This record gives sequence, C-alpha cells and structure tokens, in this order.
Amino acid sequence: MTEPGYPDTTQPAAASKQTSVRSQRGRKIMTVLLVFLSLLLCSGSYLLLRFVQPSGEIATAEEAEGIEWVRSIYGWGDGPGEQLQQPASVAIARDGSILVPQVTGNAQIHRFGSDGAYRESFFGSEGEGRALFPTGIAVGPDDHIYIVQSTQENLLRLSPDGTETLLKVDIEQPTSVVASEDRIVVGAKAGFAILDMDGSPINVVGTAGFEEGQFDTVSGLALDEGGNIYAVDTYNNRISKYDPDGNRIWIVRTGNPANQAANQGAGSIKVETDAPAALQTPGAAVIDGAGRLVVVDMLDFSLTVFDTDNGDVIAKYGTYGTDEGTFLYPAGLAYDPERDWFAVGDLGNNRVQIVRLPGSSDSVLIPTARRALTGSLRALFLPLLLLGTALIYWVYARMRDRRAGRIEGRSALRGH
Amino acid sequence: MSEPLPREGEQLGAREGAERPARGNSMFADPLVRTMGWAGAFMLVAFLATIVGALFFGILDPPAPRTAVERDLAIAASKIESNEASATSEDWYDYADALVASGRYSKADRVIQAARSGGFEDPAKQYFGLVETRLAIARGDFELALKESETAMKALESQLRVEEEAYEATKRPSVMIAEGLGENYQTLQLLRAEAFEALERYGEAVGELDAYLEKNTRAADILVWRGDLKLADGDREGALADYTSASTYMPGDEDLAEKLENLGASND
Repeated sequence: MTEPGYPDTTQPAAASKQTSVRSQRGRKIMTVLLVFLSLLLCSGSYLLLRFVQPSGEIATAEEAEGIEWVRSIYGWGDGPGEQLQQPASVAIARDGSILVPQVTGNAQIHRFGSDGAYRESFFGSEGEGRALFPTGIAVGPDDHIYIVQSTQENLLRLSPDGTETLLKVDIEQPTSVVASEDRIVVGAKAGFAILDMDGSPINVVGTAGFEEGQFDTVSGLALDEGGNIYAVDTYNNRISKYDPDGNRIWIVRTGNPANQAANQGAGSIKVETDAPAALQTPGAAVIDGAGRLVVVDMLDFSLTVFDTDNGDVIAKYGTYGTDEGTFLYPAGLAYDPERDWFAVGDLGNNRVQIVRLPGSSDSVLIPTARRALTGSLRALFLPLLLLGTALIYWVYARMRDRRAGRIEGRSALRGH
Repeated sequence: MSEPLPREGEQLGAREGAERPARGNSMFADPLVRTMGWAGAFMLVAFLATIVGALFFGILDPPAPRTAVERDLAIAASKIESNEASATSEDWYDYADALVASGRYSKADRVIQAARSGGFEDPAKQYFGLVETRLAIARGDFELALKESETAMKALESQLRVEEEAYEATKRPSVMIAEGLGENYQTLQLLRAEAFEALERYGEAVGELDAYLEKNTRAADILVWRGDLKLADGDREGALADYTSASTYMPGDEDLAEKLENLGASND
C-alpha cells in the first residue's frame, strides 16, 4: 500500500511485469500452437499430395532416359471396349486438346482435353461402320484436321464446323501430313508432295529408291516457321531439310537403312551404325518450341532431337518399357507449344503419353503456368489468390500509415 | 489530463501496442505473438483454401485414369459396379488386385472379404489367395504373405488331386487337368521367393525359384534373380552359372554384363 498524497509508482511496475509475463507465456503458447499447426498441416498436405499423386509404376526422368512424364491417356471410358488400341498417330489442336484416331472397331477420332479428360468422339458414330485408316493426322493453324489414309490414297479435311472434304491426292501410298496457313505437305512412299489448300500439287519431291533424293516411306514431316520442310525417310533411315519450294538444304543419315538389311547380308536390321543418331526406323516428327526437330523412333523407343540448321544430333531421350514415361513401339508424335509438352502415341502400351523433354522451349514462365492450370497445382489457385490479396492489403496499409505519419509530422511542425 | 506513465511492457508493443490499447493486458498486446497468430491463421486459411480449390477443380477425383494402374482399377471397378451379381471371381480378383497395385490396401481387404462372403471364391484358381499374398507383401507383412501363399498353394494342390480322382473315375477332362497347377501357382512361387528374400531367407527363396524354373526354363529375368539370391547367400559359383545361363537369352544386356564382370566373366 502507498501512503495518501504520493503517486503509486509500484502499480505500473507490477503491471509491466504482469504484461511481460503474459507476453512470454503468449509466445510460448503461440510457438507450441504454431509447431502443432505446422505438423498438422504438413501431415494434411502429405495426405493430400498422396491422394492426388497418380498411382502406378512411374519412371523417373533418370530411369526414362531424360523423359519427364506428365500423364497418360488410356481411353474414353471405363469399359474394356473404351480403351485406346494401338494409337499410331496423334495430333494436338490449337486449344491444347489431343486428337487420337481409333482405327480398330468403330472408326472414330477421340478428343481429350489437355488435362487428359475425354471430351468427344467424332467422324464416325456407333454402328455406322465408316472406315478410317489414318497413317497420319495433323491439325492446321486454322484448326482444320487433316487425316491421310494410305490404303484409300486420299486426304480427308475436317473443318471446325464439322464439314468433311475429301481431297484426292495424286500420290501413291500417302503416309504422313503436315499443314501450314497456306500449304499442305503430304509424305508418301516415294517422297512428298507440296499442295495448296485445295489439294492441288505445287511440287512433288522424290522418287522411290535408296539414293539421295530418293525415298522409302516418308513417315514423318515437319514444317518450321520459315516454311522449310523436314522429311523423315523411315526405311532409308535419313532426314532431309527442304526449303518451301522443295529444294534440298541438307540431308543426314540417321542409322542403317532398314530396307537394306538383306543387302548387308544380315537376316535382320544391323543395329551397329556410325550415324550419331543411331536410329532404326525414324518416324513422326515435330518442331519444338526451341526450334529443334524432334523425331520418334518406334524400334529405338526414343525421341531424338536434331539441330534444324544442319541435322546434327542434339540429344536422345527415352527407353523401352511399360512403366509410365517409357515406350513400347512409340509411333505418333505431336507438340503443344502452349504447354511445352509432347503427345506420344505409345502403340505397344495402348496409350498416349504426355511427356516433356529438356530444353524444348525458349519460354519457361508461360508454358509452366499453362501446364499448372491443367494439373493438380490448380488447387493452389485460391491460396495464391488469398496470398496476393493479403500482400496488396499489406502494401496498401503500409503506404496509408506512412502517409498518415507524414501528415502528423507536418501538423506537428506547423504547431511548433 | 496528465500523460500516462510509460510502461515497461511498451517495449514489446512499441508504438503499435500503444496505439491499440484495446488489446489491453491480453497476450496479443505483444506484436510478435500477434504476428505468430496471424501467421497461424493464414496457414490454416491457406490450407483450407487449397482443399476447397482441390474440390472445386475436381483434383481429388481425376477426370480420367492417368496411369495403367488407374486404368485397370477403373475398368475393374466398372465391371463390379455395373453388375455385382454377374461378376466372376476373376472380376473380383482384378478389382482387389488393382486396389493393391494402387496402394488402397484397406479397400482391397474389404473387397476380398466381400467377394469371399458373396461366394465368389474359385478353388481351382485361388485368385483371392494370390491377391491376399500380394496385399501382405505390399503391406510389408512377409510372414503373413508366406502363410497366405502356403494356404493357397495347398488348396490348389488338393483341388488338383480332387480333379485327378474325378478324372480317373469319369475320364472327363477339366481345365485344371489340362493345365496342371496353373499360372497362379507359379505366381505364388515367385511371391514366396520375394517374401523369403525380404526376410533374408535366401536359401528358401532360391528353392522357390528352383521350382518355378523347372516349368519356365527360359525365364531369363528369374535366372538373374536366382543368381542374385545365390550371390547374397554366398554361392558365387551358383550365381555365375545362373548369370551365364541368362546371358544366352539376354545378349548385350548391360546390367547382366556388369554382374558377370563382377564375377570375372563376360556377357558376349
């Protein structure tokens, strides 16, 4: 107790001590709570991650020789009859949807979203019995779908509005197709043809044979931004680059010609080769976001990357297997520049695999964001939005406090 | 009014604490405690927002199978769900097996029990014994795996005896008479070898593979596996013999070449 008339100086000191004790206790309580909450949320996040992670045998990039697996597409339903059967060709539309022709059974083209979800089937309908023998499929910049049918020797164009146009191409055994804004290029047994948008030939390149300038089945075609044409001569095991008018710029051997195994005195294809690519049957090809040529090889179970300037091999990825990320006779190939990933028709595994390759795009941020929007990372959209809002509010509050401080300061100066 | 005396507690609260006396004597007068409180609240809100986002975008329920295991599970589940009564024991087995492969062990267990109680057991195939062995291995209970596999194998052996006796009497053949103990019996042998290996009982694991290789003499991968087990058991010569036999079927295999090289041989 203090005497009357004297200020009670013990009270603030006691209150201060009390506050300090409360504060210490508060810090301890909050630390324990935060640790507990962190553990709880970590366990929750782990369970959530386990739940959203795909289950199954997934090869790591190291196991898959550099291939980074994103997801696989197996079918358009859960029934045994609704599964993809040996998808040999695949294409990607401008909106990122993946088109897979179904040859066996009812001929249809199935469209899947970039998230792997089935969207629709078109071309044929149940019981209609329409034939479809696609050896190549491509989507043009105008979203027209081009399907080349080797046995029918024709080229089918499907417009976005559903109109079908049959272009009778005067070229034997057409095998592959690629389209730009003003031309269509069709690969065939003996070379390739450059057509205008009506299917009329502008130029036909090549004859059948083994010599340079001759071809034995052009299974892969790609067009770069300059309109240059890359032709993959499968059984001669060569790749060549042509200018838009059909003049050859370079030609490289990519392995031993599969069509000359008998000439080499061997009963089967000779595997050893001096060619750096060491391919066996190079097939479908695309130009990736970094402007490189990527070629799939069915018997080499690989994706090989070439320099478009000279045909030099840059890298080779992929290996044999049934795990996700590995291949069993990969035949189809398409590239999505928006998301920087490849769709591979993994024929032997009855699936289309979405995979990524190192260095396939010059841009990182936008494709990453787009990919995130098709995967599990979408779940982080709300928390990121909250974080962004909190940050904006924090910056705003800081600025407001500073401004208030400045005004108070000026008032104080004026007062003095 | 006179100015209040400065309090020691304000050192913790700095200006902010003084500006907000509403918090009074509570522990939240300390800005650090307040910050920690905000951080905790934000973590919780962010986590809940992630869950809401996952539910909203359907991430917890993928729109389509992404892997072969998910596809197998979807197909097997649709078969059972479309008509449970007409499903065969093989359909139930496929379902339980796909659940084991996708890591959903408890549900696999429930499915096996449901199938058993529904009378879907096939004594001539021992599907459920097989999947129970797989389930036990997946859960790391190798002793149980050995027990389950032994029960299933004995059941198969006794079923074969019954069918042989029936055949002697009626001369009417059956699938089991034609096939013998069948593929599931051999798979059980491999699973037992896996369990023995995990328990480091290499000799017994080799014994199971010996029995398997009697029927599958050209199974190169199993020869390599047996070689590995023999090597782990200290039998270098036995391992070399198995690797050499396997190299006949796997010429140029890099892993095998390395194993042979380690034992002083080559895979040419």
